[in-house]
Amino acid sequence: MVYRFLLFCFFLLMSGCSTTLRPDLSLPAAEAGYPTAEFYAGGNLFHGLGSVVAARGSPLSDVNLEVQGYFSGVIRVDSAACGVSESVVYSNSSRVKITLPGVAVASCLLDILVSPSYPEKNNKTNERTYQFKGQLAVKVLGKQDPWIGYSTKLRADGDEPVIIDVGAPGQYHLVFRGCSSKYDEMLRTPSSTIKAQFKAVVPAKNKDPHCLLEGFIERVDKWSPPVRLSWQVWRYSSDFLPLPIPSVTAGSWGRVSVEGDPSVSVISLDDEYKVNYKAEFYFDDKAPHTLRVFTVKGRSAVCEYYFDSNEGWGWECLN
Amino acid sequence: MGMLELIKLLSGGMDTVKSALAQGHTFLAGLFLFVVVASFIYIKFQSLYKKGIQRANLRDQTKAQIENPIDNKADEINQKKAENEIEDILKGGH
Repeated sequence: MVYRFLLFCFFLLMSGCSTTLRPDLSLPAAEAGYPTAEFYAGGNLFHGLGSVVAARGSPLSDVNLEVQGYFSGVIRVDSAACGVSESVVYSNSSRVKITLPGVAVASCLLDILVSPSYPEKNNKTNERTYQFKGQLAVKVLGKQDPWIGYSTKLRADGDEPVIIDVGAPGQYHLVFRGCSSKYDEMLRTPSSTIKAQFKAVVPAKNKDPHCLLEGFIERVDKWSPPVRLSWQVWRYSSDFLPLPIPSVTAGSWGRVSVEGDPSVSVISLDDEYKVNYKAEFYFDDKAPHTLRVFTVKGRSAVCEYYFDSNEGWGWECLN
Repeated sequence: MGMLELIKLLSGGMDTVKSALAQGHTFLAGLFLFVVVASFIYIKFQSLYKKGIQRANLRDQTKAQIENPIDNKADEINQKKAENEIEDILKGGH
């Protein structure tokens, strides 16, 4: 009996007590054309795709781009038009500030690639790990020009409505170019939003898996300045499933329980990272938090806990 | 042989070793222990070897990322083109 106990202890020591990365049977997100990098620009959190406006002639560093790294690894950011070609080695799951050089002259697309290295002690099964891709569209405009940036991750065989918040009922002129689009329509709305369909905006002949629509919308029955639009459209493989949003349950003694999909390998609340698909954290429910879950295939979900003056404290998740 | 099988073999096998020693079969007991230890070392080395290959792949991947910029010139050219078309429409009073 003593021998057996000693042997058990010996093997526990040899194999280590840490949890391990879990397999994810999905297609890798980056290869499926589904961007999932977590980054911040202009004070907003983006998951995979984001857009930001820069006033013409202002320093590009005003974009305030920060990319979230997981564990340790390399973050790469490139754009020929914005003159950025930078790779940064990071550690300790830090959020890396990327200072864009020069002044805003021309709009550009910043491609982002996060390549994390997971702790070896947590990869006993030698799971192959994948990268997180992202893209930030920087729109350069005059200071007074109104603009709205949108992005859509669209299933390759699917369609979705293009919904634009116009603020009031009326008749509007909507125009798009890029992505082979020649969309030019007069649309009337009885509500505060205008709707079209992607199938109508982006023609079937456009085979580009990701492209950028540029356009404008203006009210025609009552004069108002045209609002420029930028819309990133990324079509992802119809075999790919985005990672489900994790469930968060308030526990006792100021704790929360988080449970992700069984394919989730890592759950993180703010700066605390746990290798598992479910975890508990201490939680101050009167302070903002960021929760993230991700798999070895680069599928992820990022949730923000924040205060809304109408609804109080609550979660908002992107996946 | 998996780690679990090895644990089972070892825990069950210690009784065999004790009984062999009690009957004076020192060679058999030694042989058994040798096989067990050798299997354990083999498993550990195999795992280290796999990790080594994985680490080398990751190193190559990281090196490639550090050295090779992501080429998105075509996307940016399309962006510029679409933007110019929109500005032309706006200037032309459509």
